[in-house]
Amino acid sequence: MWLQLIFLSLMSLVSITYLVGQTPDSSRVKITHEIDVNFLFSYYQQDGNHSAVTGGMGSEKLEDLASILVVNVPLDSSRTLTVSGGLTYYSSASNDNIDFRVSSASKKEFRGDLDLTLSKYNAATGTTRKYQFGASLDVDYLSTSLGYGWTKLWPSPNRQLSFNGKFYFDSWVWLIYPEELRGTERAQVPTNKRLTYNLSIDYSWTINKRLQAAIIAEPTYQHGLLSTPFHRVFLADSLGTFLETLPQDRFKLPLALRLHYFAGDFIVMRFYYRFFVDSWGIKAHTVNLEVPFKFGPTFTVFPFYRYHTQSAANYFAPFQTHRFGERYYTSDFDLSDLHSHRYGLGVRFTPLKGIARFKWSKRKLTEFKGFELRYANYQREDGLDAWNISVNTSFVIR
Amino acid sequence: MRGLPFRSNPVMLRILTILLAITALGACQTVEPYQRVYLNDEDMLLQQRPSAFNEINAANYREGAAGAIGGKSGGGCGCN
Repeated sequence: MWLQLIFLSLMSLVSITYLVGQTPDSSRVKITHEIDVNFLFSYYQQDGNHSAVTGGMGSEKLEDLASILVVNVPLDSSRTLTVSGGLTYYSSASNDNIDFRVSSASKKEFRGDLDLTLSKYNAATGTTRKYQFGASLDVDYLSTSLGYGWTKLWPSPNRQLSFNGKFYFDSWVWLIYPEELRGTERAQVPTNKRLTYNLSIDYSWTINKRLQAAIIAEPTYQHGLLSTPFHRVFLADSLGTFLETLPQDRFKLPLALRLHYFAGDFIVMRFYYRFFVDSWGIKAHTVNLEVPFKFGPTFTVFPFYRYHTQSAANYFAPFQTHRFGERYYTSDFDLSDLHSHRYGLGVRFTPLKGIARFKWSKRKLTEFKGFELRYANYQREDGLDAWNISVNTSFVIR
Repeated sequence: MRGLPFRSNPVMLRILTILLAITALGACQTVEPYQRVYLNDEDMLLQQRPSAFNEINAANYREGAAGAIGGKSGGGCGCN
């Protein structure tokens, strides 16, 4: 399976490289700039003992193998098309427990997504407009999105303001209930749709020659089926299995600050803080610090640490704690009172003039631009442990 | 003092203080293009690294908070 995925990803890379390489001959679009190609490969693994599928107790073992290809194609001097495609293969032990009768070590599924963004820069006004369309498909879940963005850049003093609005229309293609509830009156949800309205406001500015900052607000409103139809809840009253039930509305407000400081000639401090509050009663604080050390102009090592703390949602209670008669139930520990730590190390190699040049067509030269490897370990205080390794390689086509 | 709106909410008071401090820092100096050698460094970009994409995605699902960090903050069931 892994080999298939790697092969598919490489074939996609070759195909897109070949296609964009043909563009000057096959269309009237005139390419005047370099084409950037980024290929991200990532493996994630987690394990814990608080699966929401089995009511807050049970295996959370999950493996996730993702490959994402992002291609930036300048169409002319002002317009750029960004195509992003991803394929994810995952194997989930908890999802296998939706149905106890058909048991295996874990359930294996695929998810695919595609995102297209057209950007148009207006040099006279210093503004960029973005139009976006995206779609992703799980085995049982379809998500489509439309977006519009506006960015203005002021050169003196250096400031930038962005607004990005996005609308997601999601639906469960099949509503899969826990097997013991199928055909009973407890296996009911009000809708299979989920709508998300998202607005991101980002203001960034240069403070001095070594320091720049950004503040970000991203209010988000969701409406529809916000629970998961195969999440179980077991009550203290021992009345059997119930479905997770959550409100059909949720308003989320994250506010973030980012500060990047170049200290000396070889060290950068990348600081990030986020405050989050939502209408379900969660308040959270997240701090992230990353310190890249530069060993010459081409090689960088960056250790990082992230701490997150949050209060529980009003509707959360652990395994066999909810009482019959409550309006909403969930035993999903993602919504619990928790602290988490993530730490890791990354390395980046960016040769000054590029290496490993090769040609896919007579007129186009592809050049290896850079390579980034990153490992992260994640620990949640309820015992969930995870690790992730990612490789990002970038190429440029001239 | 009783009338202060954030007196009963220390978290909001702290956030307001930080935002005010940042606003004060916003009285920034103009940096000419030839002085941008540090600011133009790849590590100074005010965004998450592409290689962190999957970590952010996982955190969005494993924690109740999401958004304001780049990447997707909606769409997808997050059910595994």
